[in-house]
Amino acid sequence: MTVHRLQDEGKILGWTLRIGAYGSVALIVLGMFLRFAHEGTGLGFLRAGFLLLMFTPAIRIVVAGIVFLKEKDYHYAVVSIVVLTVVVATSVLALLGILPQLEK
Amino acid sequence: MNLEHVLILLVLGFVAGGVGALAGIGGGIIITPILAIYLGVPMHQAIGISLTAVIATSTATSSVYVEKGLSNIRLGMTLEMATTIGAAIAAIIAGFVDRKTLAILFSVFMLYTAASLVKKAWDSRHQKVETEIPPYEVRRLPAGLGASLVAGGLSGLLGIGGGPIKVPIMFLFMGVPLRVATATSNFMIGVTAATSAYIYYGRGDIPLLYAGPIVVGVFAGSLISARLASKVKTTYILFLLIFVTLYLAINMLWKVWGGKF
Repeated sequence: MTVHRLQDEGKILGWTLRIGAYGSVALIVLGMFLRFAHEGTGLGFLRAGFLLLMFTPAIRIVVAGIVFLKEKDYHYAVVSIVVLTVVVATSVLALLGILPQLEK
Repeated sequence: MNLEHVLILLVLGFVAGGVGALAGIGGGIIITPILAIYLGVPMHQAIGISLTAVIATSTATSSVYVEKGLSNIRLGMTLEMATTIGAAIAAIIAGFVDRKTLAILFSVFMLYTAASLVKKAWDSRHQKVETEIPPYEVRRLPAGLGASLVAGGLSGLLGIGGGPIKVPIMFLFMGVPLRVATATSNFMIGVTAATSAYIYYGRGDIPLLYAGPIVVGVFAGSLISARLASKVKTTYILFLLIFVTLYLAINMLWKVWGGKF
């Protein structure tokens, strides 16, 4: 089985990370700014910024998986699916609040 | 929370991100103890805030390394299978660990980091910069997976990136050139820290109003110093960081000892 690496695989992943990083920081700045301009606003943007920041690595795994599939590099496509499964399972369990934790 | 707090946190993030990126370590090792010792942030929340800063730094800087082809994406993703599992388990465990124990563990890790920085500073005197990446073959993958599980665990427990564990293992045991090892470790940190961050966020241990300015400061600081990195002599930065980590570690232990934590 031959693997044809896409020449711009680094570029695709680099841009995925860049858009996620700049996008989330922009949302966080906007949220903070609004929060101090008018009391009681801006929290939505702040929360959206942090969710984008925390899910950018997950999006990067999906993009890498698609790149590996396109290259017919099935070994690493499976690796991507394994990592994505751990990350998504953890996030769903954690954000739904059904992980074991102490009473607060 | 007023504008003054926001400015203090912005500056803290900026300095930690800037100095950290120059020395090749994440800002978490500085941010967490300063938040916990001087700004009265509970240890679990300081770790949660640091995790978001670590994600921002890793995402911003690895976008550059990935494009330049410095990160070994395939090796990184293979090891991520172990770092994410370690991170998830340790982040859950962290919820059951009291803050004094966390502070002691964090101090021990700061001492380890200071020691690894001493070695780095010593080597940087006579080591030539690798300009060309030599051809290499990855060896001892099982050992790498084991070390990644531990590094992921430390990330979930202490909110750090785990570079001081992963980089030496890849470089010394797995036959990966130093620059590639550093870039690959950096690439893995975002996913690893995010996995722990979900758990801290779900537990309410990431106060967004505090984390916001820190993330913005770290992001700006690490981007600026990534441009300066080739123009500044890192030996002095390393000595500064060694002093700061030792000082913070002793201060933290002192506080725990005095029952003020």
